[in-house]
Amino acid sequence: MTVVTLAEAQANLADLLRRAATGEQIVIEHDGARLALSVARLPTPEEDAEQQRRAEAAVRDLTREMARWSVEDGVVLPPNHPLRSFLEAEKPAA
Amino acid sequence: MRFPAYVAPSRRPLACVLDAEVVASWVVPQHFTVYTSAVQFRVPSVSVLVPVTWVYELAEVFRGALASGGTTDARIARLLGTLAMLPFFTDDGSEHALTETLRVARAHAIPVWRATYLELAVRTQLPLATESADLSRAATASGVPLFTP
Repeated sequence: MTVVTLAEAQANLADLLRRAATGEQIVIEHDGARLALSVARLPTPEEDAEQQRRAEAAVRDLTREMARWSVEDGVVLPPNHPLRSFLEAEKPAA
Repeated sequence: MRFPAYVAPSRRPLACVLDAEVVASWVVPQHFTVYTSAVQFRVPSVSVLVPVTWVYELAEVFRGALASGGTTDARIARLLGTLAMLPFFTDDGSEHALTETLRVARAHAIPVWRATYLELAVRTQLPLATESADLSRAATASGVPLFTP
């Protein structure tokens, strides 16, 4: 944990924000109180697009497994259930 | 990640407050429904908000499903691996538990741990993703829309 005065925080704000964004605990002392600097870093558009791509791939993979689990457990899915398309895709060609 | 709703660190819009029972159903084939699967497909492209009690409720639903033979440890482990990649954000709203959440629970005669969803949806003006009959009824009575994936 790093403790700084308000004057030090004003002089080094960019550095403190960067360090807080990486998880370092930053505390500013002001008027006898200790104020924790809490930072939530937004991903860049490129990082966000990559995270979304990975999330969509992970959900697709999970869905394939869910389709298999339904067969293992003998669950009959209704005709309009989205998992049915994954089951159809896994059927061996006749 | 645990942050107040107004600083959820995501570029994707917050789309709904998500009931743990919806997510838990993804590992219980007997509970696979069209709605829970539709939510599953929608989640990667948005952000979702959950109350601070969410992870405990998820664990409780898993416990029940394991005890009844509805799922397996391996399936739960598989789901947890996927959840780690999804944009779920936990609202740090426990300061409302003894005031507004309790009031909501009493007003709709639902357990406090279920009222956390409704209180959060009202406070953030987000729709609620649930298949629970009690929670759906309470949400409708409160003017909270149900999430349409």
